[in-house]
Amino acid sequence: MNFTVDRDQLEGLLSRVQGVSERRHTMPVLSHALIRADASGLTMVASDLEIVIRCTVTGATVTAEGAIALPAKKFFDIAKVLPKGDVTISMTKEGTSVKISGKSGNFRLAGLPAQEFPEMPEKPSSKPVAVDGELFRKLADRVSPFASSDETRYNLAGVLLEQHDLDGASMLRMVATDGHRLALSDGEVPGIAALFGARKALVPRKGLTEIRKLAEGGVGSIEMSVSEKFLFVGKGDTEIWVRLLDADFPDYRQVIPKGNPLSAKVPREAFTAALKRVAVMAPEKVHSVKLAFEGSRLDVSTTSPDLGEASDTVEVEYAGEPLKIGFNGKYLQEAVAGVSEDNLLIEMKDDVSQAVIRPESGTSFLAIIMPMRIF
Amino acid sequence: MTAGCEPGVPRAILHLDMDAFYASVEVRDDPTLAGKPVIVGGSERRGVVCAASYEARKFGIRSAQPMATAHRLCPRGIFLPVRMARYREVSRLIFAIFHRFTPLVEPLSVDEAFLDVTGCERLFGSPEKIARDIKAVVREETGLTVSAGVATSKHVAKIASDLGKPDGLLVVPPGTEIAFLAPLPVGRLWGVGKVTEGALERMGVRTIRDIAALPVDTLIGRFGAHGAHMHALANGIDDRPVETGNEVKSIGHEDTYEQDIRGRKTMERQLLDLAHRVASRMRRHDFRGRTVTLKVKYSDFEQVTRAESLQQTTDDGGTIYRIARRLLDKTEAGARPVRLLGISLSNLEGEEAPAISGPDGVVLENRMDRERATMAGGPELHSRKPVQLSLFGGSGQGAAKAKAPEAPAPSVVSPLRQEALNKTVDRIHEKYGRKGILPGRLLEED
Repeated sequence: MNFTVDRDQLEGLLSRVQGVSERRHTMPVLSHALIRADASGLTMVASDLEIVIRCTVTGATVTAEGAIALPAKKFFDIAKVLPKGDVTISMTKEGTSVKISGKSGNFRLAGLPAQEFPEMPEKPSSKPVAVDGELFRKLADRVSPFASSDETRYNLAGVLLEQHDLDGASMLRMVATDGHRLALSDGEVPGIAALFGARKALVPRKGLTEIRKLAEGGVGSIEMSVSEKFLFVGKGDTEIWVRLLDADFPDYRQVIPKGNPLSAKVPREAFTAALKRVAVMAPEKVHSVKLAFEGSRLDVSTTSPDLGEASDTVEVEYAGEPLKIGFNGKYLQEAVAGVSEDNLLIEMKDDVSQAVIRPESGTSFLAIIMPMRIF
Repeated sequence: MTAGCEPGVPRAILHLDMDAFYASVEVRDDPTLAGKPVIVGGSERRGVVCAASYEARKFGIRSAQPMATAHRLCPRGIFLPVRMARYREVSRLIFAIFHRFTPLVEPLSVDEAFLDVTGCERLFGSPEKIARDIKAVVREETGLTVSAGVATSKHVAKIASDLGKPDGLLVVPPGTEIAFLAPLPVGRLWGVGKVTEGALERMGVRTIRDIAALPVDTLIGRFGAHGAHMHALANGIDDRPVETGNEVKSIGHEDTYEQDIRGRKTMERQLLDLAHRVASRMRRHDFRGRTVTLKVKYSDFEQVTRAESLQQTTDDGGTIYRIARRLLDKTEAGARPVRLLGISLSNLEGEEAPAISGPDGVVLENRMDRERATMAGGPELHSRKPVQLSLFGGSGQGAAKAKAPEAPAPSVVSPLRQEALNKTVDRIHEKYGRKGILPGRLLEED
């Protein structure tokens, strides 16, 4: 193996793949990136068995074909310190390491045989559907904080992707819940029914983050397809496979309350600011915050038993009976962040039932939060 | 709270263990029993020996032996029932004495504790002198004897107090731990029971010296993490701090049955009873637990435990019962007759216990006192810790791991209504006693 590649290109490639490499030592080869130089150019693959990422560079000059797995993080560190310009990478005689030389600096880096690297999953046979990158990022950002970070709650540790019909429009829907709160967000994606019509995909959080990163880079759309085991996403010279969670997502429709009688119209920015202000004094673990609705007044307050209190008032439109209700303030902030409109609605029934937070108009986002019993 | 000692300075740990505690308290309360074989234990047919005086031990009577065996070994012994409340009372006196010497007291049970007296030399003299003084004060103020072990670690101190019994004082000076441990049989190591001992014996390992000499990998390969732990202990390494017991670690209940039970239905009913009792204790002390542990003792005294952790903490009897029943499936109960069933909840969440030290019972009683005081002051003073409510009801709802065994059927009642129901049940119990309201199944005849 012998090839020459531009240093910036090499660093860019490595920065994309090394995030996926697994640094834990269960399978040493997973901390490595598979480097392959052949007629099609230079390809790099990283995998943690759950996520596989493959990037190809066409600009490399390959003088001898070959493949080796190299420690991803170390290779990345080397690329970063090389000067601008061409970098030549060649296999040593024994075939167990490579020489890396730039305009200045020579390195030898030991690797593992390419055969030890896990096999690539196949690409799903379903026809790929184009999803606008910006839309994907928006949906993912709104719901992913709501997924469970508790690894034992396997079926909640991911984001559900499914399709949803809205007045004949075909929507991509993302849903996430950690058992205390839930968020769903819809965005129109023509043809998405072909992908998720029969099959939903439960995508682990880390995998969704990788796809989100890909969707975010540059303009344009991502190509998405799905098989029984994998969600596959391609964009430009990068492809990502994410292994789906093999678990049942709870029937989330059941917990969406219908017709909560107490509705408050709340200005988003003022409410966000008030939440951030009182959060400073909220108890550290539980982040408990009290909301008191009465007429046009919403009092936001918190108490840390040994430390003190904080409160703030937001002007709202509320016609219901006075209501005091407790929440995890962090949950509130993350729900409000999903709303991009100027005003949001908080719909409640009482202080122990699900509250709904959604934009004043439109159905692009919906959050449900269970109250916290504080009073 | 742990000792904040400087690194490099050897610690001074005392292990204090009352000699034949229950039996000694009985003798102290009735001096005519002095010098006689006194055996304290459960009811005659099914109970086990809780304590035996040294005179009784000469007949071969040991703790945890069935009472029937004790009767056979020593027909003329003096057999007394357990008076736990009295032992707790005496225990409190003894722990108060320990606390005069250091705040770092870790209770292991009503009659046993670790003390960290590192750096107390200026105040009370050498660790050996402190141990001798504590022994003298305990004898003077309670008339009871306590055995003491003095060492640089908990493990060695415990072995030392054991070797010196009764009324012993054994000091293992810093640097001599390995030599002290080496000739002892492996069974002396903390955490080495009959099963491990047998397995070690088959490997040709009999003394602690043999364990220390084995490569740690061999032990890990055979015993897992426990192997590494044994290896460390055998080499005199034990950095575990003395932890003051102001935290209740688990709440549980167990019953030894008059007759071995065989029927699955009977076992389930017993579990239901236990689950509700544990749950109401949890609620009384404002605790919620995450891990349910089932203990099963078969008729041949072999004992197994099975545990499962919930995604969310609970104090609901129905939920605890459903888990316990499933855990029962993982035992041989039914195929083998059962003499004891127990359920406990650990991984507790709840109000911090008051900052006092003492054995479990003491802590709980104090909590009750405080609770009563709070209630007397009116309900508005009884502030609760915020509790995040859950979207999906039930304990295991929608939260099973993939391919994991099915989650127990969630309660049909929503968690909040269940909570309200439990509160009402608790109030009925308070007014009319435990029989005031019961699950219907507990009224059935066998």
